[in-house]
Amino acid sequence: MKGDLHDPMLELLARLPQSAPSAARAEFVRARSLLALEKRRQKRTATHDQKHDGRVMDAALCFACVVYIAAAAIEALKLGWALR
Amino acid sequence: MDRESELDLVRRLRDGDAQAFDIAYETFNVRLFTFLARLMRSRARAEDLLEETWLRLVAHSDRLQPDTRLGPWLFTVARNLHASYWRSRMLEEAWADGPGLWPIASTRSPFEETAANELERRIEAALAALPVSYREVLLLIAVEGLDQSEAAKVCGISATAFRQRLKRARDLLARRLGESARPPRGVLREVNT
Repeated sequence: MKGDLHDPMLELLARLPQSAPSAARAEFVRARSLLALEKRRQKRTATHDQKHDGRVMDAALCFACVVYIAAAAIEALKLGWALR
Repeated sequence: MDRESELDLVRRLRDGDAQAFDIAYETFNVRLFTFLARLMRSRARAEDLLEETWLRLVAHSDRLQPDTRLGPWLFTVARNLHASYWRSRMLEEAWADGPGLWPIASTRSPFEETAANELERRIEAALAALPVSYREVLLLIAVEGLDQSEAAKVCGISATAFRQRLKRARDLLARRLGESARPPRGVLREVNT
């Protein structure tokens, strides 16, 4: 018996034959599941790519802001020196 | 399947590996169908729920815990789908003989039809006549080989409640088998006269 009880009644049950779905249906279900799995995988990859692109855009924007602020600060300092 | 392979399989399923799905499908498809067919007593409905079970695995594969026991997980899904199916049917249909949580089957199951010998046929018939809450505990323990704690989780009950249910199920099955082995009273009377 496969379970963790040793009982003649349960052993009788364990020896009952198994049954399988029809071959056509089994293949259909397998194919449908694999298709769904592939779609999920593609969706996840696309989401991952979008996130990656988003992170690159955020970094670029951040960099541009820093450059702009630095340039503005330099200009302000130059102007300050010129007014003295 | 040993625990190491199972953990590896779960990891690959979480990554959406098609080969891992194929391995899981080969390992559990017949077992799940057998379990569902004995619960449902109908091949067609068992095939429908089997399909739904696999689609649930696909839909939830990336959310599986790394230490998931795949067999019990799949049997839990199949068992819950079966319970949902009967609940929705009970809502749809007005049961003439009053509400009951589980239907009492009255026709012969596909297993009864194909059982190779008389003893198997008697066991299948006695099993099919049990309330489904008893049938499922016997199937999970004796046929699917789950241990009691795993099977209790599949049924959503405590280990103590499971042990009690298993004992009652086993006793009822033994009684039903004993009854089916005895010749009907009419026959005895004919033999005596």
